Amino acid sequence: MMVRRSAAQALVWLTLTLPLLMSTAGLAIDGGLLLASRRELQSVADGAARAGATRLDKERLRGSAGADIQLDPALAEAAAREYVDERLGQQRVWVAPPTTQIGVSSRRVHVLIEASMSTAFLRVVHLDVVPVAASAFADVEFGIRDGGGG
Amino acid sequence: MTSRVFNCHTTRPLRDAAADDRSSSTRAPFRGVKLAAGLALLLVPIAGAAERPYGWLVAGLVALALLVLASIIGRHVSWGWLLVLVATAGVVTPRGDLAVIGPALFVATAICLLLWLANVRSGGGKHGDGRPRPGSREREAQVLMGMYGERHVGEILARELPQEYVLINGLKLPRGAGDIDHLVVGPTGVFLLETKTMAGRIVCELDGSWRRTRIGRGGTPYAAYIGDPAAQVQRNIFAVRESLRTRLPGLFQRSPLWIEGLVVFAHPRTELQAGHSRVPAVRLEEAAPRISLHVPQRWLRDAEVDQVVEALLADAREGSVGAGLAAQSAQAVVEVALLLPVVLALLFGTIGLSRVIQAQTAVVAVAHEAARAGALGKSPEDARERMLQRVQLVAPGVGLDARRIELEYNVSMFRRDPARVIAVVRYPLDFRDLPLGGWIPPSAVRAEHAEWIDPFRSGIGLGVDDSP
Repeated sequence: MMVRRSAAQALVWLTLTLPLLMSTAGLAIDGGLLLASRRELQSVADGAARAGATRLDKERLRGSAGADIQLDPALAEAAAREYVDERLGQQRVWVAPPTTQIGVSSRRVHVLIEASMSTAFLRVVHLDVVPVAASAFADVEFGIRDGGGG
Repeated sequence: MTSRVFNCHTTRPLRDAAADDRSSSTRAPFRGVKLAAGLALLLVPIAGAAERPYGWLVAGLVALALLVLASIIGRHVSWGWLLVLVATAGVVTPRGDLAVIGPALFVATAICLLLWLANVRSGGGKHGDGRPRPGSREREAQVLMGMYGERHVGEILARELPQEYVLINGLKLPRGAGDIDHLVVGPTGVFLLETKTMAGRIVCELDGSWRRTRIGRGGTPYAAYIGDPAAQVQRNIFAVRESLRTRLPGLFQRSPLWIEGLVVFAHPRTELQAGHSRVPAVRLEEAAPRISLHVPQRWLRDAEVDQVVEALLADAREGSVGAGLAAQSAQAVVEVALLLPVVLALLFGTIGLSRVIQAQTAVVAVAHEAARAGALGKSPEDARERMLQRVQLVAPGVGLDARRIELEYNVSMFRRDPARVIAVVRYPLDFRDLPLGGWIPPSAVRAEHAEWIDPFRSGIGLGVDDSP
């Protein structure tokens, strides 16, 4: 009978599409968490790079009467690292401690932070951990800029 | 004898018909087990992944136990109540140290829901009108006897009615009350026959109700089911009249066509007292003479007999298609109504979560901007003012309501080394505009950002101009 054969069609349909719906919702959740984590990490990297860029080589600055302005590599790296350690300690619990690479040249600080975030739903497809990375540069600027600045 | 016989019944052996009746009964194989197994295969990995490594194991064992239960004694389990029980346990049971029960309860709820939905229509309870339960031996015997009786009555009518009469067996019309066992169309009119093959004493009371009494093996009389055959005939008369009125309106002008109803009792051991019946009730041997000797108000010509037969058969053909579609549509509506909450919960849950993530990303940006603005201040007071202004400026751009933002600031380290300002932004979330969002407790997102102050900036006196 036609009605008998078509019994519970919606149930079959739901059973087939439920994994798809849940996958979509799961992807949205994990994707969203990934975006939020990436944004927080970027904020830390930006701050760390700028913190490092405040550490000038004072001896060279004085020796050149303010003409030669360069970063003190050791101080700049230490400042950037101090910033990263302080800020990351207050953030979400990562799967493993994030790794930080800090590169300092004469007028630029480069901060690269790499971390791993555990997933909630993508585990189903054996994607337990997703890497998150943020990179930031800060250059030394000097002199009087147009507009007065702070 | 008439050779003009139309059989609208499906040509099945009697034992197949009994088997069909059995298949819709409580003896039928419990439905939905295979579907539940498929659902378990899909849900166990999904749910178990949340609590590894034992989530899969426990959820799998629970699913297996339910499937075995359904296979063995599924018909005797009240799946609806079990569903309520499991779902309630899923809500109220604290996870704590037993986190693995979460996936197991989730899978169990889904399986119970599916099994309940798949079997909710099959019924299985006892009928309150004394009718034998589907699947019972008595019901099976009744079905077999009924079909045998209908076939027997059809043969007798075909043999005893003159050739001018047309006999239609098993006609089913839209809006009818089930099959019309026999419809006879001939010069004396249209006759609708409902066959009852029931032994025992059958009485139609003064109020029109029917009563059937049988004698048990020990000689004790007991009441047996009969229903109201007269009402069934009357509903089918109405269906035939409506069908003919639509297709052959000419028959109902001038002298309207009168449709006769008959309840025919075919069992040889029927003791009939039906003088008060609204529809004439006769024994089988009286049926054909009553039809052929009837004196109608309006006689039907041969051409009219053919028109009536064609109209009714055409209506039955179209009605079977329409009824099937209507039943399917109604069933689909019910199922969609049941499943829609699940889909909507997923949809609105995803929307709500998207809002949380968007707000979290936005407050990170606002905290960042506020701290950077504060780091450009000339003094702690100036830094505070700059942070407040900055928040008001950038919040709308990232989709936040500036009036609802709560800003905390720390400028106590403005003149230390390293000097810094810290901005903490908190933003309350509101889900009340989402369905069921009012149930979500008040929550907020928070972000903090520290910004180091450039010690070489003029005018803030951080002690870097320490001349030798």
